[in-house]
Amino acid sequence: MQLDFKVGDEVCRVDVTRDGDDWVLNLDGREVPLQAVRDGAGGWLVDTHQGRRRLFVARRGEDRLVFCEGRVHVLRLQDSDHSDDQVEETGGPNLTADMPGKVVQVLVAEGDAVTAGQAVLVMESMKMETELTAAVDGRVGRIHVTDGQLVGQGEALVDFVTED
Amino acid sequence: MSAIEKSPSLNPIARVLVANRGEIAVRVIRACREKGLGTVAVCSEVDRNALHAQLADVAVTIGPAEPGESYLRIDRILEAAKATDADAVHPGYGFLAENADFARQCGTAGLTFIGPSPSVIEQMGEKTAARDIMERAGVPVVPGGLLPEPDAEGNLPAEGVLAAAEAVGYPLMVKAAFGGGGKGMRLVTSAADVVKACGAAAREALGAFGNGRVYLERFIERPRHVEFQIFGDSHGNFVHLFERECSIQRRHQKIIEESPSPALGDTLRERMGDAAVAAARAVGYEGAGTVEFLLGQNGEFYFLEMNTRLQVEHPVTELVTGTDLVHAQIQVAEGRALPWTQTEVVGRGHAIECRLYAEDPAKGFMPSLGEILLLNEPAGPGIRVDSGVRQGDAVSMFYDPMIAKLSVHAGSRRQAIDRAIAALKQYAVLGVTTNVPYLLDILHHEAFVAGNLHTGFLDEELPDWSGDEALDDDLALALAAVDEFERLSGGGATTGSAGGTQATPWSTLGRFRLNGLD
Repeated sequence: MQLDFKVGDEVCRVDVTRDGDDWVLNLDGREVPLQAVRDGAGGWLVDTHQGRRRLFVARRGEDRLVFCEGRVHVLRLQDSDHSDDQVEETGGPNLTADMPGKVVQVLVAEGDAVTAGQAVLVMESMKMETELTAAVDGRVGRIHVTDGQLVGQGEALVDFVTED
Repeated sequence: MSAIEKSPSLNPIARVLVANRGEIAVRVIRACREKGLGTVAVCSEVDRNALHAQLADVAVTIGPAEPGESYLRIDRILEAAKATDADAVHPGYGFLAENADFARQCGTAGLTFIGPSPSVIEQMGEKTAARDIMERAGVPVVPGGLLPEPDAEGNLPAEGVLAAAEAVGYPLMVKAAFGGGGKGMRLVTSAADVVKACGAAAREALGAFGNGRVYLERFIERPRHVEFQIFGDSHGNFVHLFERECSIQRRHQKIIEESPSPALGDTLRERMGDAAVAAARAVGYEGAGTVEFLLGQNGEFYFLEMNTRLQVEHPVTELVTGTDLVHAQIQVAEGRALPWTQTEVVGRGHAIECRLYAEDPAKGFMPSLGEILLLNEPAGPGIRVDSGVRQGDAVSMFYDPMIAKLSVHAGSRRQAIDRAIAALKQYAVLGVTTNVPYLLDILHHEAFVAGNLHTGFLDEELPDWSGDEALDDDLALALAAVDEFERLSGGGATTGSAGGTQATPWSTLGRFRLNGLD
């Protein structure tokens, strides 16, 4: 299985194959075996050169959050089939939360036609309300949030579909 | 031998309303349950499914999320107590815990307020009055002086300011008489700036607290914050339960606390403990309180203020003394004597508390909101977690970003540090960003390990912390891919023993290593 992750500004391609508890990963051309099993309590047991470590993974939208020895790594899963798609590469016109806050009101519905600059969502962060607008002409794709919802930084809010 | 029982005027408590939320509400509810007491939680609309609301026998929704509309509404809290037949109120810390009016209204409504009397709360809440009381009781206070009252524009007469400043000596601090939290505070190093600084502080205090009164205090360089846990009862017994060192602070917010303080020897501890008990005795203190001192590099100590409530960091005291301070609070509130005499309070080992905040230390400590997607709390001997949240809970912007406290207890300070580090490395919180990496860097810091602490430690030793230097994401990347593979292929990775004898790749691939373990 081939998966693309965005780590910082870099996109890494990972090939995963599996044989029981043993995994073979190809990370950008480097072949690496890995022993990892689920521990039955939400974690992964991974054998490292320092001994066994317990790691945790959570999913938030396309983000994969990995907890390892007190540090959290954020990796964004890219859609492999559309990895050439410019929209995905640049983050596209889709709206994400710049900072944590509350969705005060979603002003559009999925499928609505929007024009660039049109207000689509009202956010409240640090006690201030801000209107977020569409960056392009097109249609509203998926809406990830509802009125009153609290969102973390980087969380997807509204996706757009451009006409071409 | 327990302390002397004098008065038989007992006032048994049957059901406690906890006027708070988060970890402290949870902690108090648990203590009540251990004692067989009924519990009532109050909650805001967004906290209906919060841990504290679910743990209590009954939960009463008292208003919208904003604290001013719920947790600070005395009228609604008293109504909730009446409706649920509660006979006592525990205020926790924060919110109404040091509000004398709340304590008074509880009394008027026939409720036992689990805390000191309203008049003591009032006296200690007014910083200059507290200073005067302590000075008269023989407790050392920072040399200082009250200034003339500012006029409506916040200006003070120059001669009066200069004379007072001369008497105090430079460098000095200008502080708001009715304030806190760093507002209305100025550091002044010479006579050239003092008049201007006092005016600015007075105007700031006027805007923030509605009262522009300011006073001067000698500035103590690189002080430690060392506080003593004290306890008094209605029978005239007073004890202290040793000290906590809380010098690891950011903007006056404590982050790591420990007991005992690495700075105190037996003699100094005894002198400070005596001063703390004298402070408690001076106001006839009943219940749990804290006497805060500034400890100078030369071993001189000065009364800072008295907190008339249970402190956030009380677990470190409980761990080293083997006591339960909430149980004792309830016992004292019922009119019974303290469970221990001074000689029965014995410290053992070393305890450290780390406060977990939902904030991003790499981005100016901005609060991090959202859903806790995954939570794994550490466990094991000597590890205590006081948490107000569970997996799936939302961290909202309305309340304090402290979501939990990790406290550890071990035989020595070094062992306690190691235990705290190991526990934090297993404290997985995913979905909101926490300060765990920042806490780890403090605990690893040479000067921290050496016990060389002062209240400016974080600003000096970890300025502009970004934390992401040399992050190697390869292991995370590999595991994210494995996790994704497993999810897409419908699971089936075996549970249990990994391992085998095959050489692991981590020893052979230089770049492909666990971060932070080398």
